[in-house]
Amino acid sequence: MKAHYIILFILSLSFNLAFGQGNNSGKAEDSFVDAYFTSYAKMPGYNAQTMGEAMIKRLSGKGSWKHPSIARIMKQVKTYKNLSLPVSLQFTNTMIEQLDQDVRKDGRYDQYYRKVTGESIVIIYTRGKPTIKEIAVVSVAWGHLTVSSFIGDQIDLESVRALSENR
Amino acid sequence: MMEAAELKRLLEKYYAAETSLEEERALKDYLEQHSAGQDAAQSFFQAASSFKQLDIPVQQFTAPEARGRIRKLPVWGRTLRRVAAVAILVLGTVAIRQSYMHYERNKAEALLQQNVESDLMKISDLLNQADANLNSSVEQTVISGLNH
Repeated sequence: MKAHYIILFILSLSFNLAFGQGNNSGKAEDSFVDAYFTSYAKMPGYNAQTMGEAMIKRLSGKGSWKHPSIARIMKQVKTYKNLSLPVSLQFTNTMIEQLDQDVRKDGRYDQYYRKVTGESIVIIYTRGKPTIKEIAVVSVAWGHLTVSSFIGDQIDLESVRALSENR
Repeated sequence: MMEAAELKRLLEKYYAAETSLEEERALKDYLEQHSAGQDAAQSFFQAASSFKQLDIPVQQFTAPEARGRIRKLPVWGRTLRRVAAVAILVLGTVAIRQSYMHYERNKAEALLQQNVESDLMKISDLLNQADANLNSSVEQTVISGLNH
């Protein structure tokens, strides 16, 4: 009987090991996404992903990046965050207004470029002067909001601009 | 004539499987000559009448090695076998978990990598557009200034 209990215990332990939740949660460095968009986390269709320093280093070490210019830029990046969310037109208008106000109040981010068309809005934000520590891009198109943020110590904007010329 | 004591001794040897072929032949001859019921030791030796069938070839059903194989393992052997089974189960589960996690990690990484690359390209395109728009508006301003 005792042996049966031991076997059951070992089995439950192995299943816990196999299918238990991993403890990879942890607070990464605050990004544009964290500053303005974490409040939407409970909305349906919210999807956020983070690429930490370790993963970036691993991918760089493996030579996984498609282009040498991307590999060069990613050496300057420590964290990448991305979120996506389905949004209505009305929500988009309210959200962009709110974002403009918040960015103005916050003072850490500068609007680098903004492009508004009938179907889409794209805004690039940068943080840090003179060295850029973060580049964030907010885009709304076809009823979908996407926010991406690249955080590093010194991101060279000119390298990023030259990327599409070098491809 | 074989005496009862001798007959008893031979039969005991026979049941202990220690009789020689000659002794067995002697027993067979004796039992053929003396039918059951005439002998004083009839009840004791009744079972020995099967000797009359000694000429029938013996059919062997099982090999002695096969009997040896199904013998019961000692307690420690059974425990060892259980422990080995559990160990195989645990190791198998862990191995499946590892490979599943590896697969999931690779999938997530590949997706994130795609996002990173497409976002960088998007930002790059936008920065170039910004530059081009700025240049063209500067050119227009300069040209219109020169015209005036």
